[in-house]
Amino acid sequence: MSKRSFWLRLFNVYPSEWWVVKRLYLLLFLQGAGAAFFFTSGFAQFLEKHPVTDLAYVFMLSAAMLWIVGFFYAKFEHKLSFRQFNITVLLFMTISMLLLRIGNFYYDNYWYYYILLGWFNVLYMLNNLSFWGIAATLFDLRQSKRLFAVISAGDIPAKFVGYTLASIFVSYTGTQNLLFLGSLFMFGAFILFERVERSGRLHAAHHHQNNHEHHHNNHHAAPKPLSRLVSDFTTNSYIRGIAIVSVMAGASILLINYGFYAEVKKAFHDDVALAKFIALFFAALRVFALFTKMVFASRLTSKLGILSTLLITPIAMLILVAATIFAGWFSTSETIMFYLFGVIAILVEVLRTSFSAPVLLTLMQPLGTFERLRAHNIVKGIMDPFASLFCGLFLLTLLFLHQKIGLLPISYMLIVLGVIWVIALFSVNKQYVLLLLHTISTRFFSNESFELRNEQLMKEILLKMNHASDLEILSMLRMIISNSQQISESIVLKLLHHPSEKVQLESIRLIRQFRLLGMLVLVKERLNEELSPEIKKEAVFTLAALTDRYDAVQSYIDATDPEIKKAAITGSLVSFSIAVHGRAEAWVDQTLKDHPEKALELLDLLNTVKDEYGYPGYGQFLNSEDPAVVNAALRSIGKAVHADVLSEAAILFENNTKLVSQAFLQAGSKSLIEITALLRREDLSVDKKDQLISICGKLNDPAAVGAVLMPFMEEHPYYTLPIVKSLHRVKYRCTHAERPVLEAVAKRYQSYVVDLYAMWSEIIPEQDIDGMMQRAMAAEVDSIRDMLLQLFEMMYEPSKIREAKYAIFSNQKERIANGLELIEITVRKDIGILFSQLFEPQDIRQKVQFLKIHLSKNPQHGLNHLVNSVLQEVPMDYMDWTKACSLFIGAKRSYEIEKSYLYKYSQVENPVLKETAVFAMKNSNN
Amino acid sequence: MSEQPIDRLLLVEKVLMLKSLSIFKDTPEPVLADLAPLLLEVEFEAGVSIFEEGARGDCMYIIYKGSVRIHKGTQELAVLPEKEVFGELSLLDTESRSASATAQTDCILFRIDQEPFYELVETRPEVMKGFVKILCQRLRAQNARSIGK
Repeated sequence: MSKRSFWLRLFNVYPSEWWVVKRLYLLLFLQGAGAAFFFTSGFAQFLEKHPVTDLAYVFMLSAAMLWIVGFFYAKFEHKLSFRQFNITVLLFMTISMLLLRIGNFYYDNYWYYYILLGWFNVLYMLNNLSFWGIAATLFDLRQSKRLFAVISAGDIPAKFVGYTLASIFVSYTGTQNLLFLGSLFMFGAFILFERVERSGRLHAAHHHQNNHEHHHNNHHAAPKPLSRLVSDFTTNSYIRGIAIVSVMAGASILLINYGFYAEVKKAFHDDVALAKFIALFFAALRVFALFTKMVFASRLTSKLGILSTLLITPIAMLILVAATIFAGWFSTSETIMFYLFGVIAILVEVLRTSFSAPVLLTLMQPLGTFERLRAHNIVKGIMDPFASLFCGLFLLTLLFLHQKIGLLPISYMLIVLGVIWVIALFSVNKQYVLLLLHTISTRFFSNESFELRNEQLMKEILLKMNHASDLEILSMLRMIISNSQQISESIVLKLLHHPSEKVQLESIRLIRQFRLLGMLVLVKERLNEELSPEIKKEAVFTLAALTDRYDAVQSYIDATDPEIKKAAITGSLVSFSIAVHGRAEAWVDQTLKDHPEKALELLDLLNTVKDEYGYPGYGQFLNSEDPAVVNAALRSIGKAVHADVLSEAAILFENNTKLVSQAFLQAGSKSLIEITALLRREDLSVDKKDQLISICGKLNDPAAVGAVLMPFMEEHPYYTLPIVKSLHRVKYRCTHAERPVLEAVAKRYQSYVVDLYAMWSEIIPEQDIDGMMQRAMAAEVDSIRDMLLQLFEMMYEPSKIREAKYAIFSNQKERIANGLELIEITVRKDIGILFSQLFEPQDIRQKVQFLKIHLSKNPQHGLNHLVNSVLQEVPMDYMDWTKACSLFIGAKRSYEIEKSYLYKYSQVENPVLKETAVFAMKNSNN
Repeated sequence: MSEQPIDRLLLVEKVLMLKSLSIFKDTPEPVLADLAPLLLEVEFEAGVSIFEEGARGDCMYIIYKGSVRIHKGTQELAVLPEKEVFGELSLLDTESRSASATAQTDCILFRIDQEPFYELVETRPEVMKGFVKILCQRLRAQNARSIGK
């Protein structure tokens, strides 16, 4: 493994992202170091000159400053371009630090130190806003989930170096001059950003991701940014949730730090000693944070998911604060409290930097670019001052009430803040799922339902029918029937005398369909009139089907017109009256007995009523020696077929696959018994079984199909792909007991994909023919991906999986990322995470590097091995096309292929595979 | 014109040939593998009519070798080179041909007839899916052009 790929793998960064990540990392480093110098200087100077309780005033002053600067930030963010804005912010920070140092030469007033320390909070906010504003526009949801933790880690070494240097320099320079060094680093950040921007690569990435929405958003963004920010906060519950989380986190940190600094202040009395302690303490903190972040953050975030990761910090804080409170109850020693607060300060800072901050930013990624920036501003630009103001007021109130600020009351407040923090996180997580769904699907299909049982509405419809065209009437009829599953006699009566023949015909059909026996007399009357052949036929059929008197039909059965005769017999066959039905059936028996040559004619007759009537003597047709009769009989099998007829049809399956399949389909789920029996036959070929499985997928009876295919899949994993396809097609939902079985299937196929990637990455391009093997592998991977999504639909929430599927199938990077995220949330954690890793758009070789731990065995190098693996069906059964490609390449490149495989594939039904196998055999013989 | 069973190209090669056509470039090869057995190789000598304007169309053609002139009477509309496809809509309907096609040079064409195509679609709907996708793309492009005008 090369050095570069080692680092990429360690940091979980893809090669295409490396250039941008490196620059962002450096940028954050420079900004962080600048802030560290500034903080060490400002904080030490302040504590040296003022009592620690004055920090409460600094908090309140900071709140005011943050609001003012936040207001201008939001205003200019939308007025200036991406480049102009970020350059302005970086320059502004550099110059402000410089001015504060120069100002110190002339002013040494009491208020200067409040401004100095208050300004640190402003710089901290601007640093965050500008940097994460840049990062958030460059990456999509999944990238940010993976990269934000790594990138934000740049902040840690930066501050470590900054604080370490500060602790060294402060003895020589004094605390004030640290500001010079801080501004120098900030200027470095400005130069870096300027250069990177000029190179155009940052811009390309930014533009590429946001080309559409950016223009759109700029257009809408300009007016009243602050009012928009506030309105977003009040109307968007998601952003509000994130904001509450942010303010709880911010306030907790401020209070913890305050408690800790108060104790520190007691121990150190001059500014240099204070600065040294602060610098060293923060340097040590950064080392610890860096270790946590680099080793755990990215992987833990991927493993735990967003909610659990975000819960780490508040839960840890609550536990430690509760321990502090207990310690306060049982011990009067302030040292224990001091150490406990020290531990809380370290742990919360480390956890917040490592987990909470980057993941909180990830939560904003499903928002559109512009909303994302706004959410970011709301959280940082508006809520930080709130946190600051709240802490200031709280501390001043404590001071006012008790004349001192003890650690115990601070601890109680921390418990309250922690609990609200946790509750807000649950709420945000719930909203996050909804937001992902919304982001993926911007088009909603609303299935409007309407109620047609309303009397008034029916009257309106009847009125409308007076002037409507044939087609309009027929369409209205369909609507009424599909909506209410019934029809009123008044409508049918009206239509029976409609001038249009089409409408009359439809009305007669409705009389039979809804068995309107009261209207039969009208049908009889119409038959005495002069009618068109079509209407007469329909009227005879209806009369025969509804009457209970055979003599009413007799004359039509004896008619010389074959069409009328056929209508009378078929109508009688579907009659509910035993008398009528029995006589008609006897007529068919007799005709077949007396005139076997009329078999085809009779079958034609039976075919017209195949879904309503099943002739018991069908076996005679199926056993006929005349193939035309057998074929016609198979075509005449319908829903009303008898089970024993299907058994006889099943015997013909092997030699008459197409028509028997059609018969099974027409018979519906009745045929599942025969299909099951056929699937269990060992002598039936794989292709035939595949066809049977495919028929199951068209039977529209999920429970029955599941009962057949689920056990078959467990016994014969070889057929997993077509079975899953069929189960999915019938919209099968697995039972609780079946879910582990299907999850095991999903895991097995995921491991196949890892192996496929590994083999695919080892293909030597020069050996491939027109890239056919590479594309074949891609098709294999795609087919498994589709199958996994189908499995997920059966196991988990189908609507969410479908939304995710549409997103994954799109060609938009952001949509794919959102889709994968939704999968991770919806399916079992380990399966979801691996699914995302497998199907994230990324270079194959890189993927293999990341997925190495899932490999069943190390792939062998070269196309030769891949070809043999495919033909040996290792690790899975491949598509016929992939096998054909392997045989073709094997033959063309003269690879050593076992003769048994060539023979095996030359016997299959698939013409492409068969022909290629024969070609390969000939080649190997030559 | 002569029709004969394919002995020049293997089915695998035909799939690769289909894949190289712009009309099928986005269709996965496993789907094209189902279509390949329907390709019927036909040869035309230069100047021989492939079909006449107004004749009932029930097949599409792929030019494998040579070039084909599309014309209305004597007015030439286009000369299609190798790897071009014509008459593709006739695979879906049986409307009459809107123009005549004549072999410009000696040609080898692949023909796909409507009936076997429909039979294939019955068992492999993915084939139709691919085809419909192509038609949609064309329709969208045409819409975009007409809006552009």
